[in-house]
Amino acid sequence: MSSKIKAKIDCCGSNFETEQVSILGLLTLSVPLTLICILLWIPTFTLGFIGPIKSLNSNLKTIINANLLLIEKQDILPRLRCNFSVWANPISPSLSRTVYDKFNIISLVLCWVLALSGVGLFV
Amino acid sequence: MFNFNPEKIRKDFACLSKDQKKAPIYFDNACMTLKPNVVTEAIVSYYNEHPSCHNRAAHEFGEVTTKKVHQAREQIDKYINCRSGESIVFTKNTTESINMIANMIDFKKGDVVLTTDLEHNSNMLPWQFLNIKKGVTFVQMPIPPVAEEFDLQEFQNILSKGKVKLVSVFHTSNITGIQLPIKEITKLAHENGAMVLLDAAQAIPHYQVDVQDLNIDFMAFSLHKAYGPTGMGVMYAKEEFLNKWVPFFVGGEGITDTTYDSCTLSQAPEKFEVGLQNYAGIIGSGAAIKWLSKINLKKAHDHLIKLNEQLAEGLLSLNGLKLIGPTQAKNRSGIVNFSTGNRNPAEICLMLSKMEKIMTRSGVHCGHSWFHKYELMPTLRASLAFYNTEAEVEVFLKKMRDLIK
Repeated sequence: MSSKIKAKIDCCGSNFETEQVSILGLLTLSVPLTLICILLWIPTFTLGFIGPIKSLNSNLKTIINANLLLIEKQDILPRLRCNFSVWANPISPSLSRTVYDKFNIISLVLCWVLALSGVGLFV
Repeated sequence: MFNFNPEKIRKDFACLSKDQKKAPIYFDNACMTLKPNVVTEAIVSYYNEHPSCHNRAAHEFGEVTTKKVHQAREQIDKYINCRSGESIVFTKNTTESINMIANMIDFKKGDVVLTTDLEHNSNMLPWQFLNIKKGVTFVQMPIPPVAEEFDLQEFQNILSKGKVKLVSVFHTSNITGIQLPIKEITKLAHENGAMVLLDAAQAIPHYQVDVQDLNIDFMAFSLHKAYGPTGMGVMYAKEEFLNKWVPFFVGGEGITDTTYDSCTLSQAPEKFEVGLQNYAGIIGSGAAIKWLSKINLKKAHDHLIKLNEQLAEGLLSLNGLKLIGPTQAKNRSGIVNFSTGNRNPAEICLMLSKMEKIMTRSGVHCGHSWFHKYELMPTLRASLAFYNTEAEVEVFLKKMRDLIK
């Protein structure tokens, strides 16, 4: 708890968090794990009427939600995230909230897309 | 004395009297209030018409400055109801005032300084350092986040253990808005042989703090929280202390004569105001207090509590938000401080500013120790002044609903 508080505060606490889960860790572990789990979740959902698969589906859902929450809570380009959310607000408050909530995962997935595109160009 | 009317008051502030769409919604008044035009005009007038120092210059500019500095001091003396012969000392801010007092009281090893655990860092660190430097014992009386009022019985118990030399407490908390029963605290402290230092930083803009009525020994406050200029504060001490104390800072203006071995100190308050002073700030402070003296503070306070109630009710209807501090608006002064659930308060603060020019404050509000002790996460604080309106609170709530549903 104490280190978490330390991470968030300044004299009057106006700064953003400085100590975060490493972006590299999110990029190489959380994002691939989330994507794999989403891919597995789709067939397990459709076959959910089978007992053991239903349980697997439930576990996958827990892993996906936990990872999405972990990613959502990190400060990856926080000012840009806020700016996008502010920009979307006049269009729709719900869109603004979605932009805020999903900014991190979209950014990380985009990193993967760019990296894979780069590899694709060389190959 | 005119009747209280926020719309009329707003006309006195350049940035609030703009077109409604351009005017900011300023909810960071616990940090600093906005400045009425009379204050900026007084400052500009000093720089344009008589930019000189006071007392030591015999020329015309000097005479005008001397007179205006004297008037400003008298205005503030009158506002806090100093006794005849007493006078305030101008400082940079509350922090400097408390540090000066902490270093001028003759503390000995084993003396006890009693504060609460909810003090601003500025009324905590001077005692922590005194503990390291002189072996003074520093005791904090707990005020948990759920406290509705100050526990006088517990305070009496700590006092009766003896050796408390100084009680140094806030009047109104900048974190929860809770107000302490200063008159009762002072009475108990004096009965137990302790002196009382009042941190009135959050009180001065909202209450007529009367030093005679409260019978406090020392007081510190900032003018920038009371519609005055930045970098201006006040140290008040009873005459007996002002006369006997050796100044913490020494230098020009603080003396009437020197040799290489000794000096003759000026009288108080000049002996404590050494070096060239912030004359523009002092004159601006006088203008601010003069302006504040014309406000019906009772009616202004009622307006503030009404806004506080409206704001808190609206926020509590939102998912995941939780107020810290007293549940009743009348016990929170102008402060509405709340946790923002799983949202980062700093990000909400930034988005409110960008979306609607709503200015709030996020973080731990210079109360790190208290947040650590009670394991609280940083919060978002809206702090109100009497120029704020119900319409502004509605806009704030609408935007909060947009951000947190």
